[in-house]
Amino acid sequence: MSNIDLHSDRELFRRIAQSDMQAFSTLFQIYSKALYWHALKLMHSEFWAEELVQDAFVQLWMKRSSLSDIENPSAYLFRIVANKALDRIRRHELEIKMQYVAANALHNVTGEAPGKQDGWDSIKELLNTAVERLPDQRKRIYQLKYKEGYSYEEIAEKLSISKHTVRNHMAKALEDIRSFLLEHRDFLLLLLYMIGYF
Amino acid sequence: MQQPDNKLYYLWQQYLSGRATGQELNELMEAIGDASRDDENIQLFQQAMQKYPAGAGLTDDTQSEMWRRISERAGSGRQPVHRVHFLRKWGWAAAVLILLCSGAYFWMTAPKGPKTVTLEPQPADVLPGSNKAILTLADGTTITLDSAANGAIAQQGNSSVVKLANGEIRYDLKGAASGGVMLNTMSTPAGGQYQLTLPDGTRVWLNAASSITYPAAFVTKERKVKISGEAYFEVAKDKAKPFVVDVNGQASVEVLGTSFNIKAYADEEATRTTLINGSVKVRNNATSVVLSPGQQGVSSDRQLAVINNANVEQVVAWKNGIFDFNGLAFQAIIKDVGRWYDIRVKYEGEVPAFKLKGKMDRGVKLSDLLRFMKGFGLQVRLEGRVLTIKQ
Repeated sequence: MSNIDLHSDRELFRRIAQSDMQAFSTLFQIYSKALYWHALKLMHSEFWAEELVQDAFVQLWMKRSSLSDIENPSAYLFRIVANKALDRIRRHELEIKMQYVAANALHNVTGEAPGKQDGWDSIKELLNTAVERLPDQRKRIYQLKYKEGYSYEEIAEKLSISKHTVRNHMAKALEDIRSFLLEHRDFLLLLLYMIGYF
Repeated sequence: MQQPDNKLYYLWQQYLSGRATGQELNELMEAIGDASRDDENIQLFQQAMQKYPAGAGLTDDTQSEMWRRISERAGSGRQPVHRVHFLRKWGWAAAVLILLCSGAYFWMTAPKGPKTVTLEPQPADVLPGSNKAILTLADGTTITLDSAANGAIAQQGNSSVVKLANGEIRYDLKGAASGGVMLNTMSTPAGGQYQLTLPDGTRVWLNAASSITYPAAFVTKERKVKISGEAYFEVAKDKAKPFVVDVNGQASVEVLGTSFNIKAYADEEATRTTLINGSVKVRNNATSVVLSPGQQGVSSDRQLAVINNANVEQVVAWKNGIFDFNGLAFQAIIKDVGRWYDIRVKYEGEVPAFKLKGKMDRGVKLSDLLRFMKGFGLQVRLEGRVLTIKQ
């Protein structure tokens, strides 16, 4: 990173410390994509990546009075996001594991070795059961997003509701799925173990 | 930037590439579970992330949506800030949140880790085996390998014994192999396993309750090693020096550059040599047979039989961190399980006769496995390290 960047970052932090909303907005424009990418790689979930980056910026604003002392604003920002991610993983370990499994199943990242199919099927079955139990609208939105790969915008258009509503439904759907997984924690953990590889 | 050479960094790389196995994912989650290691974890994560510089994903639309939500939440701060008031308000929220979260955290992580708060008396869980072994050098010195630091840990003639970051032991030969034969022995306890690279480059995986004796440098005409228990070999090719495995001082296996598994526990009725690729000659007293890949040689007291189409993947599953139960008799499974968890198994009444399906990660705690067995309608009781099974 060049000195000029560091300088202008510090300048932004200094102005944010003085409640300069314009500087805050500029900082968000500069860093949000890179931070989101880091969060996405950590959480394997677009929803949580968005949440974490939002939380980080809100926290930054809330504590803005202390920002003028920060030596390396960029490192500071990435650190906040990483800290929040680790915290979230600790609290939602099981869900993150499932997300990891689901994300890899979706994108087919791992070349599936022969004989691993049993485990995959059982995992998918459990996830499906969780999704099947969702109220209709949540289920539809979850499936449009994760099965069909539509964006929030497209889903909003399809269902004639606002994007905001789509996201709220998604948040509740993930919450429901997490509760279901927690109820089946014993079974699931063993299952995750049983297949050896995801 | 120099890449850190440690296990945790490896786990992060696996995680980010989406290639982490179940066991690796569990290990990483355990490391993340320790908040005092956050600094270390974040540093390793960020280093591993350098491989993924271009961030795909966040669309302009979502970005502005996020900004809308952020400014909404941060908005109240635009007015002159009454800082004390604010801190109080958020301090309360934070305190409640921390309480809720730590409650959830303890609850979710209760079955593992030293932080467990147990309300009713419960027997301690039996953890699965892990990488541990004892290395006995030619002069009788012993080195416990789960605790020894990495790097060169001993010198045997011209060979230096090196412990790698992943725990594996390797023999590095500097200069010509010469002088007398210095015999080393690596042995694993029940509940242990270990990996080793011999001075000729041959790789050896040692299962629980097993041992291998070998020279620190192969100076004689044959590369001769001796094993008990179970070991998997990937023998380095060297036509001039045949590789010979002496099994329990009775049978032997002569190798011509190849991968194979030998299972020769004293409490099994036969020694099984399974060939993955290459060619080996199995000898039992006066008889011998040459195996081709996929075949298994079964040597018992006086007999030497060959099984065609052995389930090779199943035979070597242990070295990949997995129990493969498919089609095995209950009793056979329990023998392997007992060695891995270092427990003794007693049966009350009949030995269950059914066969199991499925695979299991070797990282599973015994309590989880027992719960699974109860699911099959078995009564199981663990007292100390003795497991009693009743149908």
